[in-house]
Amino acid sequence: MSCAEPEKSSVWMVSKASVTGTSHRRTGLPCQDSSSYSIADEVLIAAVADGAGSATMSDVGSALAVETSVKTIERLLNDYHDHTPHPLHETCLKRVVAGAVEEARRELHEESQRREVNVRQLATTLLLAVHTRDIMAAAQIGDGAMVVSDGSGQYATFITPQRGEYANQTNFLTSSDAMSMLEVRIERVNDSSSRLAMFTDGLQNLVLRAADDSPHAPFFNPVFAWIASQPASDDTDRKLAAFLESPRVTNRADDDLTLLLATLRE
Amino acid sequence: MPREDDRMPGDADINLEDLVEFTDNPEPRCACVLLLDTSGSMYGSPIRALNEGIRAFKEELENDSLASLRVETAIVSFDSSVQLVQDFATVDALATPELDASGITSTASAVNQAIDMVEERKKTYRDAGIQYYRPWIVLITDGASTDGRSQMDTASARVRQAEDAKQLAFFSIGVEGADMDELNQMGTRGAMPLNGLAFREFFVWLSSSMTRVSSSRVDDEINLPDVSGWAKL
Repeated sequence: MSCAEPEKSSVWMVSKASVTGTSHRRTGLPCQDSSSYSIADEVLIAAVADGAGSATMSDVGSALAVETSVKTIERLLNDYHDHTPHPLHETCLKRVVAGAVEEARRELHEESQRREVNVRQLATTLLLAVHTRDIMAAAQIGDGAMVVSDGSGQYATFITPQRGEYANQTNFLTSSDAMSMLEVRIERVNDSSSRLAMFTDGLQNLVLRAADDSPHAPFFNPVFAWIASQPASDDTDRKLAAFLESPRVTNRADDDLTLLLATLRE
Repeated sequence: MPREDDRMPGDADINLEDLVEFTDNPEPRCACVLLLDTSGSMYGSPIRALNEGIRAFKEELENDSLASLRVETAIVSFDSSVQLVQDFATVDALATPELDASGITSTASAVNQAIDMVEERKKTYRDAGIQYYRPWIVLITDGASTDGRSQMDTASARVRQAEDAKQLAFFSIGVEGADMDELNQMGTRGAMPLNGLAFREFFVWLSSSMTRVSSSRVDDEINLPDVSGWAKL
């Protein structure tokens, strides 16, 4: 679904990559991160997820979570626009993203029954974003974060990581109390050149300041300049993956890494 | 693909790797206390094998660039008294001791000191704004505690309570001759008997476990490497 219709989707430039962490390579674990997105007209729907290291099928869990949630949001938004001419408002968008998280949870439970395993073996986080010209929503269970910018060089962490006491502790979509952990944030967007970055916890410590989770601009400046300069037809995902696998990054991070970058272009 | 001379400098082909800068956040830390029985019964080949095992632990940790930055090891020995041999240090500053064996077995006092140490260490991390992993305490003994029964019961209860509250992870390793019943009371995960003097194999396992704990994210359980290289199963 990504970039299938370049003429229609040319307003959003999106690139994403998930790469296997060096620690996963050493211990023979697969990449347990997943990401997915869809662009329709001016609406961007994006998701990243990080499967739990100790769960045996969390790569399946994270893939299912991002695919299900993106598709569900697409479907719910289409339903909405089929039934009303009014633009989407906050309460409605909130219901849409929460509904997508519920749907992803349901899908994980069904998958665990199909595979006859405990749903814990599919444990994954989920971070979702919906961006239209005038409204932006994000929903999260777990860690990972989303950074936004209006193009002026000012960055803000739109969604901060959910953490426990320990560095490797967070909430998972598969927990029985997951919906009580769900965090949803909705804001009006007034700027026409919005940018957003979503990433899993592998990158967190490198790009957010530990003291207050604020974005580290010397990381985001070149990254957004780069995505804005990419030709729409180019193989940006491969380049992004190569960057995430480069020694500059892997010397500082050995977990799976996912980065999804989106910029709205005129 | 455009030819080399068609490209604008600094355009689509810019190399991200050369341009980004990362935060100077401190690495998250993983504290580990080695709680080592140096009572008289460890004299001779057991203590030599233990010393060699600690050297292997250091060598293995040094091989992992991130574990080298993240794992902080402290060494506490106990016999007739409890001694802090090495305070928490990352592997570059970890001095491997030549431990001697003599005296009786003050297990309860040693366990209490180790729990106090990890709690204090976590507070140090919090005050410094450093993220951390759940600390580990690894008890290795070949005997039965010579501390009083009630002291041992109190220490055991404290370990179980701390483990239930996920304040730490406690591992008991019994060298031949250890009172395995007593060790099994300690903590929630059951003691493991060491196969002969397979200290080296144990410490290589411990190093790779610490590496695993300090890198990949875990759910509630810790997914540890195979123990068959050192444990008598």
